[in-house]
Amino acid sequence: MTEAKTNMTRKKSRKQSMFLAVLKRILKNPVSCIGLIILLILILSAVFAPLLAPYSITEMDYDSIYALPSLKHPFGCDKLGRDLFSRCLYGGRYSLSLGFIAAICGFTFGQVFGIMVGYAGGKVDNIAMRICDVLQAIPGNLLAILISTTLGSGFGNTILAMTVGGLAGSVRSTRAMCLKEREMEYLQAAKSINCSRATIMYKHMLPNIVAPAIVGTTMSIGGTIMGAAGLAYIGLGIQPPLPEWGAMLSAGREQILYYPHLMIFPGLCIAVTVLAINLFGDGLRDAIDPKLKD
Amino acid sequence: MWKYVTRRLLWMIVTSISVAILIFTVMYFVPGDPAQMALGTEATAEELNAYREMLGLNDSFLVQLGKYLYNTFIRFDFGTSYAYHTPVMEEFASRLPRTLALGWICLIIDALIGIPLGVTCALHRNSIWDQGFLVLAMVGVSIPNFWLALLMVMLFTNKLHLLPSFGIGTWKHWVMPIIAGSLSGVAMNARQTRSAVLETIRADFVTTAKAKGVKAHDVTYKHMLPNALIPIVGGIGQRFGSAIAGTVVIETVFSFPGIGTYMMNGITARDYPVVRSCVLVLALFAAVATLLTDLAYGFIDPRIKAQYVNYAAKKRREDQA
Repeated sequence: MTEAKTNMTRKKSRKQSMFLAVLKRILKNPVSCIGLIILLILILSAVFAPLLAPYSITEMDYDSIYALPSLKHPFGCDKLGRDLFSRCLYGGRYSLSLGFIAAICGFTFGQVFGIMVGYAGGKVDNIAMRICDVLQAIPGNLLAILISTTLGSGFGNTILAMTVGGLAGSVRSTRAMCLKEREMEYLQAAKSINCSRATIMYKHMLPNIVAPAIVGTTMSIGGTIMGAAGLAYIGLGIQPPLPEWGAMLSAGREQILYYPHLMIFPGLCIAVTVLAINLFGDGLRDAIDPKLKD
Repeated sequence: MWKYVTRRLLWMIVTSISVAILIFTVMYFVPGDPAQMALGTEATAEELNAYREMLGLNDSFLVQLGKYLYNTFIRFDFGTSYAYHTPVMEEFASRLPRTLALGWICLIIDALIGIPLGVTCALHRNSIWDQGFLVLAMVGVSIPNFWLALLMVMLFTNKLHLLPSFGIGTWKHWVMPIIAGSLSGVAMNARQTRSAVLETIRADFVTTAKAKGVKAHDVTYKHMLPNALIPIVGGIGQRFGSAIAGTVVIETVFSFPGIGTYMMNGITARDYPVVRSCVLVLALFAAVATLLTDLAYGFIDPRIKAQYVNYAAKKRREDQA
């Protein structure tokens, strides 16, 4: 009993120390540190948007229609006199949660099926790879456009569209990692002590191949946010009146000649968010796998 | 080697047919009625029904799918647009070259600027230039291309009156779409090239070359770069698919009359033949590009060629066993 307990605490401390070591390495790198700080600020401001926003996102002020940026309205107002700063704050909720949820879905699916396919090998592997071939034959963003055309616009549908676009790729890369790992001795050891297939796959193999996937997933969040904004921009993703950045940008496009602030600020929000995630992802890659560092 | 090529070609045909079935199925479930879209809200139920009958929309799913596959792959007929009543093929003849040209030019610019930048960064590792370019490349990857396009319209069209913001005709119409389409690719190529070159710095053959007393200049340009650039060049070919798919959004911003705008119009008008054919054609071109790069790989890189040969030999052994 006590032995088991000490074992558990030892395990826990080892895991914690790994996490801490990665965190330490990230904090040592000034560039990824900046990325992390910006990302945290963006997440917090999206979470606390109701407290931070100076105006309601639906409140129309007819005196300040198309108002230019000023102290009263830091980002100006749109064609209905709604405060753009407040709308950008709320917009972070859609873009960030969309990016993270799509990434987590893709990651989970890719890991679960990738390992299954890679470990099973043979016919299963062959069939799964041929399915991936077909899915990957259609470029990801094209597939996303097709899916959101079929399902219609909206938050959930956009997540689905963005996730499906990247699925085949993540299954394929997990499988490739798995194939390398399959011949390792510890797996034979696990097999020899009669571990079940599921235990071997998800308890022994997974921790050894998960690191590159975590890095890849983090790096993909930025692309997903940008892709979703692009969908909203061409009228397929999350649509007005919801304050999604891509949709706001698309609405601002009509007045580009006289009121450029309507498209500058939402676009800036997208660019800063994606940049922060990419900087952090880069640092994370170096921290998790020092071998990969230049 | 030839066995490999034929196998790949055959497999490409199977993939294209599967892609066609997939696209057809997805489009089949798109909500909205093409007849209603074409005839307007004032059409009577009989008119709508007659129109649907004419387009063959009242047939069952399998019959429609069979007709579609037969027309596309046996008769090479992509159907007639519901909205414009013109054959899709005709429209493709003028639009497809533009989209392909835009995609190719973007890819070539990506390579021409991105690769030398990456090499320079890697050779002057950790200098101020290297660090500065790395950050710039990161910014370049993070800027949404449609936003960059709009910013350029604001500057070059509205402020400086230098470039037209939409349409096509002179070379000036191509400048902004090309810049918007290639920025992220340039940045990505620079980053990948940098890390690929840095990887070869530690390779054994570089050490050997140095130990033999080869000049530093020759080590870099004759031993390191050719090896580092093979995967980069291969990657560019594989990105062709996403490059032309990426032009969809850019074409929409600039009203560039290519496949992208055609497809977006098709989506709004529920013009199934148009959307289906656009996606299928883009997917086909991506598949051909991937195949060609894979084959070119084999010819450039003896290590990969050896893999094909090994693969064939292994197959033969398995067959005999």
